[in-house]
Amino acid sequence: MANIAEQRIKREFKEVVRSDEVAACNIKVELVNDNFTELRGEIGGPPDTAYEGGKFKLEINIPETYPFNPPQVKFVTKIWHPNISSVTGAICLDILKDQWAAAMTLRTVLLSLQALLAAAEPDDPQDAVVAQQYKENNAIFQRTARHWTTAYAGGPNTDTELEEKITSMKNMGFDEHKARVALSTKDWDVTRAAEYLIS
Amino acid sequence: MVYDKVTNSSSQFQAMQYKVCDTQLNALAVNKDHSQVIAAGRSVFKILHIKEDGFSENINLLLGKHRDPDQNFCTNDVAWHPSEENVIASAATNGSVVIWNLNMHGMFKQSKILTKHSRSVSRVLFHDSEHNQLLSASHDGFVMIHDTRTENSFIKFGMAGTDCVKDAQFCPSSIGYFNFAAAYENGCVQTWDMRWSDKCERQFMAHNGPVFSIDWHPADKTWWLATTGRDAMIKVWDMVRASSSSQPPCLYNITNIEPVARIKWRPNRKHHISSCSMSVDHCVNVWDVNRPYIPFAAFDGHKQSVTSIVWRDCQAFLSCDKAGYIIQHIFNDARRPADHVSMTGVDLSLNGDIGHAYCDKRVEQTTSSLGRSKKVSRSHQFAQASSSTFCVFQSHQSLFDDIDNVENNDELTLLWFVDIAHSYLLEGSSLVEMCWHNGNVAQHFKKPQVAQFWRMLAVIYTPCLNSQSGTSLATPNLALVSTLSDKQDLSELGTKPVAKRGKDKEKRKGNIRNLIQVDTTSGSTEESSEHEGESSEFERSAPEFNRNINFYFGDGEGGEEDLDDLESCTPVGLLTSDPYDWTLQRLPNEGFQPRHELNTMIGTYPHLMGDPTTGLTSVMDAPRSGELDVLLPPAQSYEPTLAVTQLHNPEPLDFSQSIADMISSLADQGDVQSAVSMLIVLGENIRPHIDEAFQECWYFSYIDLLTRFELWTISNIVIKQSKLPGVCSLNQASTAIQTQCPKCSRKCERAPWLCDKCKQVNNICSVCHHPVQGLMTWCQGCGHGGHLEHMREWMDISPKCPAGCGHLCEYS
Repeated sequence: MANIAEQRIKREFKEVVRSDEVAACNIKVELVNDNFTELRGEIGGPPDTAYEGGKFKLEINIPETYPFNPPQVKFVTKIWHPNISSVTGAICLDILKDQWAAAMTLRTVLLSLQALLAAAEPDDPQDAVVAQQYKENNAIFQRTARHWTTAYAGGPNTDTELEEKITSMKNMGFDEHKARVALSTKDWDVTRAAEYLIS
Repeated sequence: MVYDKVTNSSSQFQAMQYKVCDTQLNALAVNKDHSQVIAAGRSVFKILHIKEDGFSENINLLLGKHRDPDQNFCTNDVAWHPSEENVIASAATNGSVVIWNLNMHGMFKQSKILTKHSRSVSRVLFHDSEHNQLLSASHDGFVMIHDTRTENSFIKFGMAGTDCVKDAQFCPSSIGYFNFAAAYENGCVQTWDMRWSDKCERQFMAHNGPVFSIDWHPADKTWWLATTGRDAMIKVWDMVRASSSSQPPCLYNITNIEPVARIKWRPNRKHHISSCSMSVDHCVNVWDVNRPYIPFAAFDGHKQSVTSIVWRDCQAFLSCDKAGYIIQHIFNDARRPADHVSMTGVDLSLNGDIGHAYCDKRVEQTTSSLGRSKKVSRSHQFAQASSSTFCVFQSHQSLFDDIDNVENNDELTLLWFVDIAHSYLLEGSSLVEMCWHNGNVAQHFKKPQVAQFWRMLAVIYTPCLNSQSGTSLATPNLALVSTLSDKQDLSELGTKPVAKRGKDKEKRKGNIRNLIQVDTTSGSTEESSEHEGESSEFERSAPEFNRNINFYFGDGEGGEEDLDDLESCTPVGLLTSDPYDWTLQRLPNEGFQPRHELNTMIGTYPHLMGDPTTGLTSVMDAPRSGELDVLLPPAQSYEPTLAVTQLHNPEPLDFSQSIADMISSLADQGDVQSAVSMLIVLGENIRPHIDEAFQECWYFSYIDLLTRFELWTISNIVIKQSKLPGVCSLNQASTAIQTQCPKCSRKCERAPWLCDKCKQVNNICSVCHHPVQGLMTWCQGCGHGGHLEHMREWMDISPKCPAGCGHLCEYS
């Protein structure tokens, strides 16, 4: 690993650890290996959003060419968000792509992601299905997102109606996660979701 | 510039002085026939007779402690009526203008007191032709013209509330009958027409600061107005060519050392003007307006500053001072400051030549001592001066380089200096390589002498000398073995055997001495003869070594063909077969015999053979008897042929003193460039042999030159390589740069990148997030930046600012 990248990551790691946000349990970062190329991050869902209360884990890979190239970040935790793939966790955020600047740090990246959760950008989607739902049926999107937060990120709010639908799908013999995806995609219409899964 | 033609003829007056009173005299006025003078001041108002041999008091108008309650006797200025002998006007400090009639009976002779001015009156004077017109100028800002026949008839010029009028003067009636000029405290001068009191004719700013005095040129058809003021300048304006709005052209400008109080044109001399200054300078100066810096004549005698000047004619004038003295000055007694100035002129030509002309002081002194009576005319003096000395100092280059036939004008400039400075190698290579390189550079720039010197240095300091000096014994030993074999081979080859080996030492020494003599008489350089001396020293100091060696010296009999023979018998085979180098070189166009000098050098330096035309005067050669014997063709017997005992481990030859001398001589010739470059290249080899003060001086000169040509990098190398503490300290001076915190603008004291107040590191690299302590670059547009290297890398991959501000930074 290039000297400059390692030195920077060490500094940025310390910066995150010492930052006020850590104190507020909003962001967190930890080492996966000793050479600072892989890190694990965690951001809290921003308050007053569907993601409130959730803890979203991130996988951060520092490229050899850091800081000339952005770190590769993706969500490990499943999340229902127009700019984040519900399947892979890939993030569509400009600062992680062409708008990356060397002045940015791990801390600013994590805070940017937090901000992304609060303000989705459906016109530049990563997940087209989610984006469509976000734009056309925002109420259902909010419910879905909250449900996903509860299901995967340890959110506090339980939506019993949605839980029941998933349970009914499970009873049909579908995998819980697949059922949840199908239901979310089909706006929680059990019939269409079942058709979707069967087809 | 004519000295003064009529000086000798006018001795009708003589210098005299009279103490009028103890207090300050402010003004003088003479009557029409110059027989009486009024001296007026703060508490004095006296009329004196002017006699041939002195002054005598005639009337004291302030007799008997007559206390004037209105202060009408505190006089600033007086004027004598142009036609009526007994009428006098005076300007009082309380603002009244007093007209005196000396014919009045009794003590009280004031006929009229005109109290139109509200403040002190600075000037009164009568009109030249209209004798009843009395002009008065006052500090209240008005100039008035009174009719002396009545009490209440006057014309007022100017506006209330303007600046003080310091002086006012009628135009000579031949030029402008109705005109007068007034000078104001704000530096402006106005001209008025008496018939038109509404508005001044023209107005212009004459001086920076108050104008103290003005004077119209007395001659006909010369519309010159001289003005002077607190800015210590006397200016002469051409008033004819002035329009009402614009500034008239300033014809002459005389610079004084201090503010001038009064000026007065000298009668009958177009260009002469007298002046007296306000405070320190107590003499009256007469200036030639064409010569603005040195007074034409200066008159001493006053012990306080002079307040007024009145000319009797062009040869004599009266002046009064603040000490109460009135002095009549005669032009004959004038001091001529210009005579004591050494005349010299310097100019710099386009090509850097300096022209310097100066007057031989001795010539001038003899002429002036020849007599006061017969003054040498100024033009004559100049003729002498120009005949005495005129030198042109040629530029630097032509001085030491006159061998060069400079072909084009480019070479007259100092461009070559810059080029050489760039081309010389001063560091980063071995001594010998640098010497060769620099020699070639000098050759390229047509400096054969310098080039030759460089090459000599290269040869002298070729490392074989070091190996001889005992650092490595292996080389000489090996060499000796090979010499032996060579010698055997060669002596077999050679038709002439090594016959001289058995010669006794006495004879050899004698031969050497002879040779030294031959050398010196045949015009070889001093160094080489010194080298001879050294080698003979070796021979004497180590006689136990019995290896013989034959030195061949051209003895002055062989002439040119000797050399040709020698060169022709320099066989290539020999050179390639033996590891020694030897060359035969001759100095072109020199008047001494070509000569092959030998030296105790051992080593293989084939590159020394590379340039046989370099014309080295002294050539080091390998000490090889056999080869040298072979060199002598059998048909010619060369006498004397010298056999010298070869030293087994000889002392190194010490050329340092000679080199030091040569470097000194280069510097003496003005070629500090070569001298300093050699000092640097030779380094420790030569430094102890030259006085450090000299070295420092050369270094400073060279650095100065380099700086002048803006060769900063080279001058820095020179400073760095000088190794002299005095020179090196140049780089240590004023190296501290104070930095400011960009946020709070406080000086960063502890570290340049850390603000103590903000507790923040200031100049952080946008890329690596470390403080930049070395080279920093930043975008002029957005102000973001960082380490030069990091910024370059970043800009390679992205067109945008690394700080993410969105600015499209440009890196070039």
